[in-house]
Amino acid sequence: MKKLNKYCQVVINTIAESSEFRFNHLLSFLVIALPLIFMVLLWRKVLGENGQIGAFDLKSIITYYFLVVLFQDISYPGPFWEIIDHIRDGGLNVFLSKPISYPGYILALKLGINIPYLFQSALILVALGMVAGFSRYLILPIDLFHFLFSLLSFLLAVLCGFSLSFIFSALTFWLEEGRGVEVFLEFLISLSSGLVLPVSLYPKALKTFCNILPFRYVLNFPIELYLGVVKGRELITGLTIQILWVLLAFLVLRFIWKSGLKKYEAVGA
Amino acid sequence: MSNAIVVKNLRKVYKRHLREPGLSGILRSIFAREYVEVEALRGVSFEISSGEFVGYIGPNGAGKTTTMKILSGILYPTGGEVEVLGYFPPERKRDFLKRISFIMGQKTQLWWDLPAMDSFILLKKIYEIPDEEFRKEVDHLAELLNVVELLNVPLRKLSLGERMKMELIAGLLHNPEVIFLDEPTIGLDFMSQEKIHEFLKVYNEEKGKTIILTSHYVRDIEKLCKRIIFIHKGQIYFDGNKDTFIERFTKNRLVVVNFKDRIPESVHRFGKVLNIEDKEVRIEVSKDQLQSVLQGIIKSAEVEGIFVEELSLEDALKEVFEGIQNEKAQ
Repeated sequence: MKKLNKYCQVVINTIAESSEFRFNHLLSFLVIALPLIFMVLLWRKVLGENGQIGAFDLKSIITYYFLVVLFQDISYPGPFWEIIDHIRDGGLNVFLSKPISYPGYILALKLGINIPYLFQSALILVALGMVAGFSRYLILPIDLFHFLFSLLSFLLAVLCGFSLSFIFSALTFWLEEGRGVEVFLEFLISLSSGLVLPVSLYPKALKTFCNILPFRYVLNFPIELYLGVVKGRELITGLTIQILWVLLAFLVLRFIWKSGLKKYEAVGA
Repeated sequence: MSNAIVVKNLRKVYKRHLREPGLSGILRSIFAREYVEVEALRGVSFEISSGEFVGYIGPNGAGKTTTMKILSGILYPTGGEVEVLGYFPPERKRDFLKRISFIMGQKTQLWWDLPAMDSFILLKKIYEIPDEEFRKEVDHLAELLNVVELLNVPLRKLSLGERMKMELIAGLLHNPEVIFLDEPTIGLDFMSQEKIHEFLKVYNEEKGKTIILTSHYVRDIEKLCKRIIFIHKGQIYFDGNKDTFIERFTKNRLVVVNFKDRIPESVHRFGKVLNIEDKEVRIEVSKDQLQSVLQGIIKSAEVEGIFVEELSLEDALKEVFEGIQNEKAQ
């Protein structure tokens, strides 16, 4: 427990620090959240009040996008600028000469930033939903069972997203210039994570492809679980794959971090 | 006294990749990346006893920071032996990291938007410092550095000098046994430098910690260190007492003469006259000719007083650096 203390303190410090930028987040979140209104208009047009597409009806598809917007901040993988800067300008030195795990520090930092924002985003979204009139479409999980599993799956998604982000960012150890890998991955991730369209609605081949990749499990899977779109055998298989991906991503993170450190040449000899 | 640091034949080779300017350079670096090996340390050896305050100096790129980084576990050496407090630093054992501190004048470990106290609380948890000890240490250090009222002010609102003081507190909270100080006075004004000198001096005397200091400011070294290790091109150029360093690397002495009635015209014969004020003349005289010059002066006119002053560390360093420059030019 004592070992966790320092990471908790990082979370606390980050919350204290990021609370100074609450307003910045509010503005940037609105940019992400406003298109939700267009999504609602679009799907209402496509489905009508009683239409159905795959396992989705109007309510579940709108709830789907609502949750995507809410959770993408915390679980969607992207570069950690802290890591990239620390590697490039030698700021990593500060951590290497202290008894603290750097990946642990970054995870705490991320949680400290994202947890308060998650609550803030939820409030903004609900308010937006009431103003724009789509809050009546939002639905609760079909039962407690699905709710608990989606909660577990969501936590795993955060861990998986974190490890993937860490891995991409730690590639800076080798790629001294350019972020080609990230640009390529961005496309792959937005396709297979369900950011644009629920993976369940994809054609079979594409769906199978997405089932194998880790990215579905950082966003789409827990949400489809919540909505009850994923159930029965698919739930068990999906959750198993998700757990495997979390473990694998963690192992790769460790490997990348260890070999990256070997490569690391502190700046300014 | 036991050795806190033992370094034997330490080597470090960096691999740097080359890229020519322009588009063709970029393309070439993608397909056939060329590397050069840069030898930052070529067999450095020294020992530092517990409680010593050592100035580790040398021109840019001499290998100072590389040595410090190896000693604090940040870099893996290419060859040689290194032991700090009985540990091999690059293993980065928790117990080892808890007993050292690397304070960098150019990198901050404090949170920019929070008061320094919040950063200290995090460090308290990182180093598992007991409450009582933590409070005592913060109070003591903040008082010594005169920043008690600033502990709860967001860091970004502090001046550079105040921030450096906080950085020092942050680095010393856990009572480290070996302290690596990398350019602690960089960018600070004269008064802030003085205060930091004073603090470090008191701290070293009071606690008897082992401190290695690198700095480009001669005054830092002059005020604080008895021993100097001078490194050049990855090799030790000098290791010993500061006074010996000055003695060895200055060819000249400063002679100050107070003449009784008048200054003889022949005074220019004795050496380079630096300045004449009233009846006092300051002359720079070559070390070998000191005896004969002194006799000559006494013979030339009636003298009221005559002293010989050692040149300062700065003068000695100037000589050494000039020597190094000439070496390069040849």
